[in-house]
Amino acid sequence: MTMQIFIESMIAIFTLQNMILMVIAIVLGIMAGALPGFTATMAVALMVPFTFTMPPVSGLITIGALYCATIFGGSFSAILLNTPGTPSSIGTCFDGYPMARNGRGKEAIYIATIGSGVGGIMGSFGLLLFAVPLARAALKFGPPEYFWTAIFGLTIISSISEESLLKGIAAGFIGILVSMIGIAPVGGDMRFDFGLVSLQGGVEIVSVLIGFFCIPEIFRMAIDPTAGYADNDSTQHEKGSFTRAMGEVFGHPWATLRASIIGLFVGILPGAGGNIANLIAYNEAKRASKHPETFGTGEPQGVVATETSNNAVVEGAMVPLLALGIPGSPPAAIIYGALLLQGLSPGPQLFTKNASLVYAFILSFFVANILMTIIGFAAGKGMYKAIIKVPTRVLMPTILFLTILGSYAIRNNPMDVIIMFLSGILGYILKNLGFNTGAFVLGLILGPIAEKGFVQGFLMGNMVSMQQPWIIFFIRPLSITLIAISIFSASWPFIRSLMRKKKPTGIQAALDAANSGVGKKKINSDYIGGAIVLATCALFYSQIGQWSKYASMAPIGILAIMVVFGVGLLVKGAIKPEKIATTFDKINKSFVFVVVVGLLWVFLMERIGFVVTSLAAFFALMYAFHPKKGFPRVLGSAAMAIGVIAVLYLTFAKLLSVTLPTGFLI
Amino acid sequence: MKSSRSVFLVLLIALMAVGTVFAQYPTKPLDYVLAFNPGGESDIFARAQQPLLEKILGQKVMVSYKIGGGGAVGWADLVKQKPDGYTFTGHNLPHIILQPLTMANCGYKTNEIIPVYTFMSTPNVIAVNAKSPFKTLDDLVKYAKANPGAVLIGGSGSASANEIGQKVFDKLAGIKTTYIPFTGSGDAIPALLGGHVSALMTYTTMGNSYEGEVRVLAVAAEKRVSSLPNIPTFRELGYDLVEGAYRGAAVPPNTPDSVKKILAAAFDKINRDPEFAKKMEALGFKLEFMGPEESLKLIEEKTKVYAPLAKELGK
Repeated sequence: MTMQIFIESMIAIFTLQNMILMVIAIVLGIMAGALPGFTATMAVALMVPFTFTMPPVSGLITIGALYCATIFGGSFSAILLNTPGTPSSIGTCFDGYPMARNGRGKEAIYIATIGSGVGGIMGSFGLLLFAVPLARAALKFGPPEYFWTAIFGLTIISSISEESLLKGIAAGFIGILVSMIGIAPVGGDMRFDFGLVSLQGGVEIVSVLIGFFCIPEIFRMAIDPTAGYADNDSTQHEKGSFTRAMGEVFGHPWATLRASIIGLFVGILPGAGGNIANLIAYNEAKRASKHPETFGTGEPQGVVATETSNNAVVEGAMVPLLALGIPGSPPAAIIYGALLLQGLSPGPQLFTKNASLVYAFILSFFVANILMTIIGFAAGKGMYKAIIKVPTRVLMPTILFLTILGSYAIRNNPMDVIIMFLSGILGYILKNLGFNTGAFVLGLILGPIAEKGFVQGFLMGNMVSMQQPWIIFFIRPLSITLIAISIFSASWPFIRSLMRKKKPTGIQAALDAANSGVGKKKINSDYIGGAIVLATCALFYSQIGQWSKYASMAPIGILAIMVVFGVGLLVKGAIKPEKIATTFDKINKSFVFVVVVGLLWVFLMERIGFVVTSLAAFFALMYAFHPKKGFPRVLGSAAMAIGVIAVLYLTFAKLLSVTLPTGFLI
Repeated sequence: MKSSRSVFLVLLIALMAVGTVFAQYPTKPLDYVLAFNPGGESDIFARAQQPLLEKILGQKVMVSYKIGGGGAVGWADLVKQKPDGYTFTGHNLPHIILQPLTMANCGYKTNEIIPVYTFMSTPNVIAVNAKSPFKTLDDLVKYAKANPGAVLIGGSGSASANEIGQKVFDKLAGIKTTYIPFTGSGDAIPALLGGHVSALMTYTTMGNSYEGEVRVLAVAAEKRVSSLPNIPTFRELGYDLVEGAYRGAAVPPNTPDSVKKILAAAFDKINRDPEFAKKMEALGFKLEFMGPEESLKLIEEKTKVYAPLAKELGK
């Protein structure tokens, strides 16, 4: 890039029109990202048609800014509601939400804002300076390498389930099984649809995420609707949040740099999907930390790692797109389509034929990230204040409504909403039994990547040996490197405990601490856990049909391994059981009420109609939880219900054109 | 005068009701559903059609996605929609023929997908990496004969145009290659560029997008395609292979003929727009002009060809 092109690009970016477009895109992106269920892909897909009427530079700059902002916006709901606004903020829940519950929410939001901006800028440097070599490196990843990368991702389970490795692995495998629902990547067989047409598209991970992470918190709010948001008084922590946040990001430069690089590298791999970057970065931050046991309890470095890396993914995804014409993530694929329709051909020629356009696009990321950080401060402060002040009895139905709306909006499938709520109930049960929901989510995300890589790699093995195709997984240099990294990562907890002679405490301790006032009854979680694992195996095994060889390989393998773990858990339950105090005995009337209302809501939504069911459910929840009863309260609750639902309905149905289910009423 | 006022009101309402019945379709926004991922061939074409559709039909056209199952999710959903013409879904051949034949329960039957127009096709091409030792199709065939199973041919989807192309070519050339399914053309291309597969059986659009990085050895069309003028057809090289994906738009069963006619006319007009045609052909799309009846005939013809092949797929 010559000085002349640099100047031309800067002039193109800093026009009044483009700056205004960027600001609008960033604001919209933050809002979209903060809404659980609304992903970056959807936001970009909705924006693209608007850009057709703009000059190409403006269109690209707008979409780029929107993409960055949406990924950043996901941190808000992750921190405040324990719900990843986009799947790339899953890891932000692990420490961001505990921070919020501890009254340090503002600090967490500031960290997310600064971290996102820094990660984005680091990613932009990577894109600007190393696009071509990075893209070439990305090409070296073929199916066997993607398989081992997914395995590496799965080894994170060993680190986050230190207190019960068996359960963590079992949870991960259940996640993999669930990810196999739908069409097999190789062979095209329809698997595990349990005879339901609505399951043929597979389980939508975003609705499971929302269910697993958000719904248990709604249940917690249901148990005590009069409790405030945070466990502690937050005002004492609010002063100095900004300074502390700056300190966390800039005071640990190597940590921030590491997270950015992880994000950039995961972003450049087209087959990896950027969603695992934040989890890998989180794991590495925990590994490098001098006090890893604080991770999961509200450790700011956890938020730094996740939010920095996920924004670096955005620019990483642009690397193969611009350098080779291969999109590195689903939003990048949409940008690819938009470029083609503008008559531009992404790939090496783009840098020569349309140099100033490409560099304007790349440089705009720097500007967008800075703007995003500034706007993010204002937005974050506002959102934090709003959530803290809203009484639980209004917050809870509103969040529930958003989760239902969000999980439906993903692909207009009412089954996704049902799955979302059922996952919530399942997640609540599993969490109480000591199963790590993060492990399940890892299995769900990485299962398809691992299976695809495995079966495609197996087919590729014909090139090496027709009789033993599996050899190919072990002879390629990049694969060998990944295997070594995976082994290291899987055994790290053992290595470290040997090094320190200290028993790892991990997440369970954190859970116990967070569950203030645990019940007295302890249950043998290993027996119950083992039973659940074996029951799941039996259930899925019964659904195996006459599938092609390639569609059956992975499920049968997974089921076989799971049976071993299920039995292992039962054995452990007999020998050295892990007795856990659950919160099951805190289940009271209001809890049951919320569960029943929720179930009715999601199951009747399609039959009766979205608006009517939502109004009824919202009203029921609000009225039931209001301390004062009587007619004025009825009116008040009704008004609130109508108001909130009207605003959100109009936004989604009209502005975002999501067709909401209309049963026999609306 | 209450009675005359109420008569007047009744008449007014009756007129309005009658008016809406006879109001020209479309009177509200339309939903153009795509069964495949954004960024793919269906998406690019639909996005290009969208502004023109809006102009011709005079209503907003929303492009939305119902992805999954290699298209099955979108088509299974289409047959459940109201047959009023306000929802139409992009349909693909051979997918809508092969899926019901090869999948136990894909959620729809081929004859439930009612095409209104078939607007483009992308013939198969066989492409290798530009650095590949195979300079001609013959090189590839020779190598495959000497090393059965070792030539890896990647393609989009299982039981798809790409896989059929590979299986038929294997038969015609008397060779045995290994098909590796990817979840889309965009998923297959990195494998070719990275040297992980020997070749791709893919679509013409890929040949154009990755000029310089890939070498197209042959095109599975009746005549040479304008976007790849120097590439011989399979027929020229001695293999009677004409195959590819046809794409169009379809509506649920029992959609009124009048509605189908209006949609078909709109798609037809778009295809005949010279600027649109030039842009899409340069990207590698071959424009087709088949209305509802011709599209149905195409499906019937292709079904006869595919049914016997269906058993061999994915095995």
